[in-house]
Amino acid sequence: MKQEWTPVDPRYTHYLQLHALVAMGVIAIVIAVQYFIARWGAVLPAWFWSFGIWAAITLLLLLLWAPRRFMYTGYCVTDDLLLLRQGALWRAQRGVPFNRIQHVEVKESLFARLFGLASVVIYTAGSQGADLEVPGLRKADAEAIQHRLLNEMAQQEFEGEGDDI
Amino acid sequence: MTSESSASPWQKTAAITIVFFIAREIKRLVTNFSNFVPLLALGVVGGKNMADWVPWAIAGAYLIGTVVVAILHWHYYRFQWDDATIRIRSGIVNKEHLTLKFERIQQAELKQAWYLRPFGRTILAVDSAGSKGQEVEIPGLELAVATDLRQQMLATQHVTTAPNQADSASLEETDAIRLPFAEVVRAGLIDNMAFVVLAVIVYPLSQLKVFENYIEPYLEAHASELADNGWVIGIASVLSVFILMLLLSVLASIIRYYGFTLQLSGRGLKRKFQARSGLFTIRTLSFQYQKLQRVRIRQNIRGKLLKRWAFSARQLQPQQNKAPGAGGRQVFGVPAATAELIAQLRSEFKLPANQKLPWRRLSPFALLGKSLWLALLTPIAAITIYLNSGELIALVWVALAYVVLQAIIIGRWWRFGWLETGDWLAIRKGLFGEVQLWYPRHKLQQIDIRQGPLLRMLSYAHLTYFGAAGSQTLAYFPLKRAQQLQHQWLEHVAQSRQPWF
Repeated sequence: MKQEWTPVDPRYTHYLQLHALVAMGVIAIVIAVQYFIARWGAVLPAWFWSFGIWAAITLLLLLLWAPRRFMYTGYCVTDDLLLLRQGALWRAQRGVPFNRIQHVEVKESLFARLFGLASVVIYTAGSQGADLEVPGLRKADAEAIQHRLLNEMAQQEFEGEGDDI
Repeated sequence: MTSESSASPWQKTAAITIVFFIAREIKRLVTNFSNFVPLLALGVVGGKNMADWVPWAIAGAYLIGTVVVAILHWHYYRFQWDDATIRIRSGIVNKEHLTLKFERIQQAELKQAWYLRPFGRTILAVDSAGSKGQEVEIPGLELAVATDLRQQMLATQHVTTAPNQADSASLEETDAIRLPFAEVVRAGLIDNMAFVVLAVIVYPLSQLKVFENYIEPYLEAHASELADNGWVIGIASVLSVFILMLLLSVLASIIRYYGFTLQLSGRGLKRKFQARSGLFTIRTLSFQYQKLQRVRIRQNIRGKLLKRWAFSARQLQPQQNKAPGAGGRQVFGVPAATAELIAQLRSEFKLPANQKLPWRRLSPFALLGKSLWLALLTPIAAITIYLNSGELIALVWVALAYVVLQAIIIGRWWRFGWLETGDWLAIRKGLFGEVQLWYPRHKLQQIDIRQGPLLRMLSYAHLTYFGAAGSQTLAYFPLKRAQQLQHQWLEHVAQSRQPWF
């Protein structure tokens, strides 16, 4: 089977960058507090070393990780299943057949809304959280996928009694 | 939705069920024990200035409070049912109104609690399906009513089909397997639960310093000739703890599995298994083949010595919304089975016979990760120990430990096997004992391929399949092969029109 991967919206890169920036911002505040208020500066390396390492990681995340993750992220809807691939360094590809989907929702988180993005979240039975989340979609695309999946679910028919498994 | 007019009137449970509500409150207290740790700590710290009666007064007030809350819970508890639904109203301040459709019910179990048995009453415990699974208990039903209601619940499936002989098969026409008392004792001997409990309580026990404060002085006083041989006492205490654990385990097994009877009825997917056992509280647990999500066949070292296996079958495990104190979920199974019984159960569950199964080994690359970590940590451990002790013999011990651990890694890899048959995906693992896990292939829910940087360099990937009763990872497949299997298994599931839970 040739899998035709559909890439997610390019704004997903900016969404990831914003995410990384916020996370690194929180870390920066925590470190700064150590230097200026908690007076642990004595045991920490000189401030420019800490700043240098922080800046290097931040740049790496913004310029390398986010674009790389965006490039690899994609989904594929075939006649009977949905596939999602994700990741930058550690990569994963997950497949869920339509006939195992319990419910589908479209999610718009605060950050995603800033970029006009949404994700489709899919649940299967007996699992604790979401089983598959296709991120970085335009809202219209997300709704189209949700619609398609709900249609497929409605058409599912199960055999009644089979004598064998 | 069925109209309420055909439903029975709202009913109150019998007064004896107050005991059930008290037990539930106590279970909640134990479950939420960690919430009281700060309070206890406060008590211990500030306790010196407290009058002697204060802790007793608090405990007494709590006890009375528990009983009052339990009586109120009983007072406000109402239930009713019709052909397709059961409704429960409960709660003192926060009112809960629960509607449970029979077709969503995964499991219905009868628990004849010891305090209800003299009154001919029982508890009906129900599990429902879906990612928002719920578990509810209806206490104090008359045995006949509860049995009828349970039959009615289990007969309503989410696939409605014309009734066939399987549905009408009454329990009189069934085959029954009964475990003799000796087998129940063996079940206790091979059960791991006591050892798991021991592992959990070892730390709190060690904090109480029972051994240092009581046992050691006692041994020294009464066995002065042994006191010089510390290792004799060491071995003797380890042995006695082991024997004590075995005895406790056997006792627990007798309480739980006494009079274990397995009844089989129906045919094909509607084949029904019903296990009934218990010394004080009699539990009846049933399982329908159609709902099977995983079979586990386990034999540990003790099982090997006794030539017994433990068999269990799982269905969908609802994980959320579990009411606090609703009690532990019972897994359907046979706690101790002989080779013949296991063969019979395998055939009942349509598993292939155990002989000459084509188990496949994982790639030798699967040894890589753990071996690398071990190779990295061993020199660090060796240097640290040497610098601290300065004795060369320590290095010999570290080297020996390295060899043993590496041998275990290789041994586990050697014994691990996976298998794909028409209907099943299975794995086998265990160095000394053996565990086999069987998943119906058409019931898988999702399949993953994962690759870290190292695996990408090697063009290898991990393959993980998820069912409704757990997941299983097969490590280190060549990427192409992993993709091929993922595609093949997903297609198999997608094409399946069989009911799956």
